[in-house]
Amino acid sequence: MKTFGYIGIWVGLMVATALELTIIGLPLGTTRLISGILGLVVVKALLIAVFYQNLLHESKSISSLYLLGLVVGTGLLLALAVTYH
Amino acid sequence: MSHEHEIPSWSVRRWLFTTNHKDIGILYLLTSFYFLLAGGLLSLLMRTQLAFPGSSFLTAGSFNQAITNHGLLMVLWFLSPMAFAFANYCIPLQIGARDLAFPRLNAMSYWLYLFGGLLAALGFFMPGGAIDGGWTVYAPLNTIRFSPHIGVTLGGAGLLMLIASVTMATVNFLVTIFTMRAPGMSLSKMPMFTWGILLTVFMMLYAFPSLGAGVLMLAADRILGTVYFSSQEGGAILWDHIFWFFGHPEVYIVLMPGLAALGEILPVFARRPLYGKKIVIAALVAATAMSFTVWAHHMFLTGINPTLRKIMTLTTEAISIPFGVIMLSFIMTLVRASIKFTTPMLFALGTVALFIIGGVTGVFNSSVALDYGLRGTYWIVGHFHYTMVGGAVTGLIAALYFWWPKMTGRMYSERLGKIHFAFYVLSFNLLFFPMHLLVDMPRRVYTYSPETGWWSLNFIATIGAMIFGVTWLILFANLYKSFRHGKPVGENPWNAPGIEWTISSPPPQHDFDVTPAIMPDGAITFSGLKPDGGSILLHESAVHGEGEETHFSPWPLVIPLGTFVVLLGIGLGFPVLLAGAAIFAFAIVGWGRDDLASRFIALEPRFAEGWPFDGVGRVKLGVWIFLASEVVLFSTLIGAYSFVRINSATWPAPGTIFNINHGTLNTVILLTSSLTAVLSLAYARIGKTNMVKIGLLATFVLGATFLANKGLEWVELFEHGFTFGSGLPATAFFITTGAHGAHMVGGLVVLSYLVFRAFTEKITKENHGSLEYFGLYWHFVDIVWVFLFPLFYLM
Repeated sequence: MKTFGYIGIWVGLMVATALELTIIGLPLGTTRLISGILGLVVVKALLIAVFYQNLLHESKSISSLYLLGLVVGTGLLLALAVTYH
Repeated sequence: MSHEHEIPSWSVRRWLFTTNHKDIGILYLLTSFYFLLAGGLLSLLMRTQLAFPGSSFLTAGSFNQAITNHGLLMVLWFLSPMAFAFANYCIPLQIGARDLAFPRLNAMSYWLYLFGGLLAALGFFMPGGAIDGGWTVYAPLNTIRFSPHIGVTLGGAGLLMLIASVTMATVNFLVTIFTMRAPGMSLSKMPMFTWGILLTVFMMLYAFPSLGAGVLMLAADRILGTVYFSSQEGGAILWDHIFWFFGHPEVYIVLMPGLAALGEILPVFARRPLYGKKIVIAALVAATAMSFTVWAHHMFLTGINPTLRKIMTLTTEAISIPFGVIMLSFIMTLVRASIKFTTPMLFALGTVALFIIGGVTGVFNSSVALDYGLRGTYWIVGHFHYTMVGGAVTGLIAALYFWWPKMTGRMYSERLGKIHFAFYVLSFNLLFFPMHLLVDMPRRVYTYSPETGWWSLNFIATIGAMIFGVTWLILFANLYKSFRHGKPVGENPWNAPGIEWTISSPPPQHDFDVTPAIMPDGAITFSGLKPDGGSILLHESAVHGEGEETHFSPWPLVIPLGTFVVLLGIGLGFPVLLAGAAIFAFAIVGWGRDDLASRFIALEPRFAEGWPFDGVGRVKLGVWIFLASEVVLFSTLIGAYSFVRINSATWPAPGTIFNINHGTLNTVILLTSSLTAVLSLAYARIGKTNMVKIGLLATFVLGATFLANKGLEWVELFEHGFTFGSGLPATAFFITTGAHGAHMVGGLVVLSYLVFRAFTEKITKENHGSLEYFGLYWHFVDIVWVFLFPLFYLM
């Protein structure tokens, strides 16, 4: 990717951050608020992973390795989040 | 190509500074035996105490220390390290490699393991004694309130060193197996033991970070006063989830190497191929995946969600299927075979029989209804000793006898080996079978009254334990006798297939004079031909790099030594901590200087199989593998935060405690530092070295500014009375962002090294891989903050 491309991604990350700050000020319900923010978080994370970590051009095996960690970690996170006593 | 002269085996320098995989394998083997003896002695003390009702041989406190450290030593410091002894020695030989991918990292893994064990054992000499809350270290017993003695903290510190050791080893073995296989060795042609280790380290990669996060959280609770495990919202259930998410894969981690070794041993002495090798591999893969879906069966009695209990019952019953398939395959290999009953074969057969018994009792435990009666009783103790000792240990003993002639060049005594086997099986069953009948005796009790009627079975078990202890002495005597006076053997005393059986016993330091290759029909060739018929260059030019290969470095020993002293300093005081930090820093600088001067030479094979990571460099793959484990680490920390927040009746609204401006500023700083890091790499690729220097400096300044801002934020919070012990919101914030900050510090240390390299013109258009590897790590740390910012500041 050319340097302007990386700067463009950075601009996108700044815009997403600004949107996060905007959302919390809106009169949304808790579910919509959390969904909106988490959605933006995922977009930001993907932008960094795909373009800065260059996952776009890496082999599928590398992406799978990373994804597997995400699956395992998310599974544990969800189990912790939904299991209450 | 000349080779470094072999340093004699009596040289202390050789064993302290070696990075050779075979030497490290021997170190792991000897050290695992040391911890086996320590853990075994503790078990004999326990069995002596339990031999008679109302015994006062041990006090309750001493018994608790014995039972705790017996479990920790056996599971973590004996079983896996013994497997890693064979993995270190044999894997490079089996796949046709000259060493592991990262030899110095390999040595460091060993020293971290040793020093971690010594640190934990120091607890025995401290006021209050060693860690004593059970090997599972359950909360809230593990907190300062109920276990104030420093032995528990030292045990945790030792565990952290072990976890670091394991993480490095998993990266090393995965990169080695994926990128350094001989030409023609596709994954399907890989030996069974290599497959077993591959899957074992995959489980380790994703399981140990959970334990790491848990121990970090516990350390923060004990040292800083945070309240994750002493709070009602967190407490026992939170620890249970985190521990057993690691703990259940761990039992397969210790089991799989032994079972995989059987996949080599049974075919050799049955004199026929393994029945259904591909099915066995598929079963091992399935077991690996499913190992992460059953952990809550250890929590059936804790009051967890009934739906989760149902799911875990099903998954636990299902996981017996792949192991059943494996056992069936082993048995079918033996049916109508012409079996040669050598000692390794006898122990292999013993493994199959004993593991099946253990596995069957495990199926009972998967039922919630039955578990209500069985959990916490000696039935469970019997079950896991049949699987972990009967399965894992017996399999590793078979492996020891099998590979001993290769490692030493000498044969053991078959007569002593058979005596060992006979007494081993007899005493094992005397010791552990009665436990299944003690189904109403609770675990972990240090004594019992005569009215219970438990005396006779306990007494029989104790007799069994004493004889079982003697069988280990028979083994050591056999090995010693073989080492001193054993009959010399040639390359292949067993007429076994596999590359390791084509070279001398023991192998030379450099393993291979010529790179081996595997032909399409599976034959091994050193003739200089590639499997596609093309010619392969001979050894002298079959590697990248020039000069003599190095097999020694002091830094893999000194870094763990420094770490050991730092962690000791947490208990002994700041001067000790400072001394440890100085040793650590000295060693890091030393390692860096060696790299800058290219003093350590590890030659890479020019031709190697690399699927499914073809074209990916070793270091780059290592970084990606490490990051995959870090995902689980931070998922655990964030998961713990989610757990306590959801379980808390109240939580501070956004903006009431944490300053959103601080968080936003840090987010902008960190995202910008990611930009400057990736621009540095882009400029390096086109040879604009001045822009590389500016980019790296900018990244460093931004990273340091982030940390300074974070530090100011923490000071502000402390000044407003919001400290480590100010409840769960403080606990979650300080631990999670603190762990992130620690990762930033590590990144800045590496970055300062890269800045130095850039300004000494060592980063060029042709040589800038280190920038890319650093960038992967730095961007990952950025991604973690992307999640933390809204979690703590906006929601």
